[in-house]
Amino acid sequence: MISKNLAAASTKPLILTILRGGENYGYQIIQRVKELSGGQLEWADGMLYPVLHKLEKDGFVSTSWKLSDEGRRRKYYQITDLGRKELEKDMKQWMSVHSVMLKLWGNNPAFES
Amino acid sequence: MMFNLEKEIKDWKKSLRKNQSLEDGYIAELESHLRDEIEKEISLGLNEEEAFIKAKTSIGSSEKLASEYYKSDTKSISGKPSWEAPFWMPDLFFNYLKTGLRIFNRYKGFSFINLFGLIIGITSCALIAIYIVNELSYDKHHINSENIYRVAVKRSYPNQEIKSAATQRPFADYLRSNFPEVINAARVSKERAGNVIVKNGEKSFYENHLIFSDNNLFEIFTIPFIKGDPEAALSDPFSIVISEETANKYFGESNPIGKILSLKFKGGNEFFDYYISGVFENHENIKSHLNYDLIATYKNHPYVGSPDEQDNWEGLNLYTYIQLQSGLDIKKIEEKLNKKAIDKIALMLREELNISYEEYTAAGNGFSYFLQPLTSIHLYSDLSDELEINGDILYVYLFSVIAVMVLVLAGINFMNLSIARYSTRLKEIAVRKVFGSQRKQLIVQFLSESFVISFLALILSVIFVPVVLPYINSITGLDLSFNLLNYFLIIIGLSVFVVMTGLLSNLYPALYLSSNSPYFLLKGILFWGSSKKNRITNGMVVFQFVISISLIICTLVIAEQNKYLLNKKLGFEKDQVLIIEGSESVLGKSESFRNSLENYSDILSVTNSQAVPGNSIGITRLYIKDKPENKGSSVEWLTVGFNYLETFGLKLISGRDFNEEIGSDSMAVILNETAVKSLNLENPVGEIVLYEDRPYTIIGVLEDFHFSSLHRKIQPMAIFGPDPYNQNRPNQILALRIKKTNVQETINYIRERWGEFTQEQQFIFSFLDKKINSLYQRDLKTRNLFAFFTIDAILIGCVGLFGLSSFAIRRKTKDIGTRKVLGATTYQIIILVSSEFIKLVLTAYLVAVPISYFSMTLWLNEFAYSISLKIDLFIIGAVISILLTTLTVGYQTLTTALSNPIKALKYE
Repeated sequence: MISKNLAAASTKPLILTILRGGENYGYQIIQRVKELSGGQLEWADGMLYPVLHKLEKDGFVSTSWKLSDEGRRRKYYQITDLGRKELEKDMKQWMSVHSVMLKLWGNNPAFES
Repeated sequence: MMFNLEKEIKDWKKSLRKNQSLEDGYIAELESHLRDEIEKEISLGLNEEEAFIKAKTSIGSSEKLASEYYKSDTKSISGKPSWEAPFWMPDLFFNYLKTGLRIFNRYKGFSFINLFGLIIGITSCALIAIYIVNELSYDKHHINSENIYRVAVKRSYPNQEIKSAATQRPFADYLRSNFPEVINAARVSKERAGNVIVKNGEKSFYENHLIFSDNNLFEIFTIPFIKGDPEAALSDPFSIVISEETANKYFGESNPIGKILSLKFKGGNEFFDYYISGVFENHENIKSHLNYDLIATYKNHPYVGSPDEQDNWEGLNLYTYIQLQSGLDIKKIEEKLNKKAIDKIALMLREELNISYEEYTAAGNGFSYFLQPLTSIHLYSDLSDELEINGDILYVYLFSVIAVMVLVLAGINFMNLSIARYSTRLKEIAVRKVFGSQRKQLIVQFLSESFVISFLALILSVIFVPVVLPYINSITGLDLSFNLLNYFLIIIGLSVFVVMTGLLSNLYPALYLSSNSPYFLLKGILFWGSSKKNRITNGMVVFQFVISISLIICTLVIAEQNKYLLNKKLGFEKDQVLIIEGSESVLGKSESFRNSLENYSDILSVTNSQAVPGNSIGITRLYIKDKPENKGSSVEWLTVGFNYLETFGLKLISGRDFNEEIGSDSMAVILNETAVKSLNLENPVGEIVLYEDRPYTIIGVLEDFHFSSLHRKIQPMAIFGPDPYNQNRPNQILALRIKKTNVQETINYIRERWGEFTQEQQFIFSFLDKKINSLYQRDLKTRNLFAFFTIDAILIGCVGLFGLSSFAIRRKTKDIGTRKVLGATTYQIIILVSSEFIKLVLTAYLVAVPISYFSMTLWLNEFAYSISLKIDLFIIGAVISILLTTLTVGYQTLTTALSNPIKALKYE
């Protein structure tokens, strides 16, 4: 399980990355996160929505209400240019952290010793 | 019931809406998520219900969601939603407080009435609590207090029983050496106030709290020494231990140990030097039935220190305190004590009456010891020879009841006024509901409003109590001391009450109003229109008035009884009689002192005697000479000089007074009527009675008079003349009847003559009427306290009635307006409005009469002589109650009745 703090910090790049592959709605986003993390990354489902709301307020995503085939109203999220830039910044930061960790641990992660 | 998915989803959405940061858009999004999830779960094989529950759970709690949404919307740093109070505070606390204060401000009149009533209630209750704590704290400060007892004596006579707190001098020693259960025993002899002058050089004072005792006292009682050794402090003859305060009084800052204090006793003319062997802590704030500032060695007492006196089993002279092993059966100890001590009792009887124990008991007499737990002496003991006027547990109970009643009164007031006030706030409540107030929030809001008032009242009362306490002390004559720790505990107790009042008084209206639909509330057709609610309020008012009126009647009865006690014809003239004690040395010296008084024109008559009315006197048994069939009678007796009857204004029914000219009057006796009756004499004058085997001729019979207080029945009494046989019991009290005019000059004259005949003996005088009145001190205290709390209860009741009537009249404004338009006169209107309240008061009166009748009959039974409960007191009670009601309701009724009907009709 990934710790709460780390999960919270990774939410933003995670969502933005998923949205980079095309617009999506909340439920689908959560399913994707679950799939990708193999269950390692899990929040109470509802908690995603305040985060999406925050991204929207910050201008990283834009939204539109659409009607699904079953006639259900869904709020779709699209990544904005500002969002892409933000994601790039985030990726750089994550990668630099990652490379530091890699150097420190080598190919022999701590949990094996 | 079938599971209805759509309904469940709807309810779930409703529950989300309760959170103010969840907007409709958010909820719609969450709903679509929920539906997606349900669909997925159903496709995986769950049924609708299971799927719904699982989906709902996976979304998480709405509160958390709402607070997360809020965080993403807010700019505040903590991100804490404004409606989420800190964890230690109830939700919306400050908001409620604010509303509470605003309401207080808007309904100023109401709030002050309410506040006033509560303050009176809480303050009186706190005062009573202080009184009770005071009374209960007596003698609890000793480490051993649980195992300390005072030995007292019960003497039975054929027609009465006398219990005395005093025992014989050698008794403590006897107990210590003969009873292994007695760990320790000490004797205490207290000098009466004004008996001893203590002197150090120029400084001399009358010491009112001087006792004589032994070293054992310090082992039994907890008396912390500052200087000196408690084990040896009283070992030497003529040593004395004093309190720190006394030390300061005589010696200032210097070390008093080893210094000398000189003591002079009343009746003596010699100073005795006592050297100071110890100083003990002051006993401020300590309550005890035994108060001492100086403790001197008893063993070598200048007057009773001889081995003969110290081993004298005859008199009941001092107090014996013992410390027992813990866990003993006191009844068994008493039995053992009385069985074993018979020979000592017999010794006493032989010396006193010259008869054997068997003869004594055969005549229907009895003598037995009993033990009084130290801590219960103050509240339970009322023996003769008590050290001080003790308290009475009855009054502790009585005032506890009054305290509870006053609190209940105040609580009811609060409730009634709150209910009345809510009736004018229906619209506000409706609007709140329309704007989405939940029931819980409304209830909490109402309660916090009432808490604002009740806590304000509490705080003001807490400040108020120490301020009024001195006044209460001076009004009631009580000596209530203020102890911060106790007071703190009392405050905690009162806070509990305040919370309860706040809760109970508003819970009902809060629950009721909050449950109604805003529509009905707005229309105002609910609640106050219905008579059922009025019945509750009216019931409360009646209950309040039952208490108030009962108290009014009780106070009237108590006042009447006190008046009776102080003014009843006692059978003697108590006014203009001057009493001078300790006169035997002056009178004994020469006849000329007496003559100089008798010849002074403003002195009407002079006498001397062993005792004057109000004193306690001895009991003996008289037999009729040569009439063996007559069993005799026990009588109270005293010896008097000539002119006793004249000085005190006693009336003879038959026979004559003692006469100086007739020599045989030294063997004469005068009886009172009761004695004649109990001796069964038809022609008493001339009969001869035997007193201690000596024959005395009855020369006169007195009309019965009240020698002792009216608490006691008149006893058979024998007055012996100036008899040489009784010279060892001198008639040391001088009594003079003086003219009403020039009283001060007369006293000065006596003082001068006194000074000519004695330098050593101080001239101390008192007036008989004051002395008699002091017998009823406790009764007066009771009356004052009762009056105080009655006024209290009346005030609270009136305050409540005033508030209630103003609301009632406001409700009736239109009614009254219409009536006036249709031609009703002011008079009719007043009758209409007041009659409603008068009816309530009369109902209360009917209930109060039997209650007060019963309790006052019980109280009056405590007196041997009392007023009979006549109807006029009850009528006065009714008049007072109706008058108070009319006055309270009157002003508002009058203004309403006089007002222009147009205004009333326009009133909305």
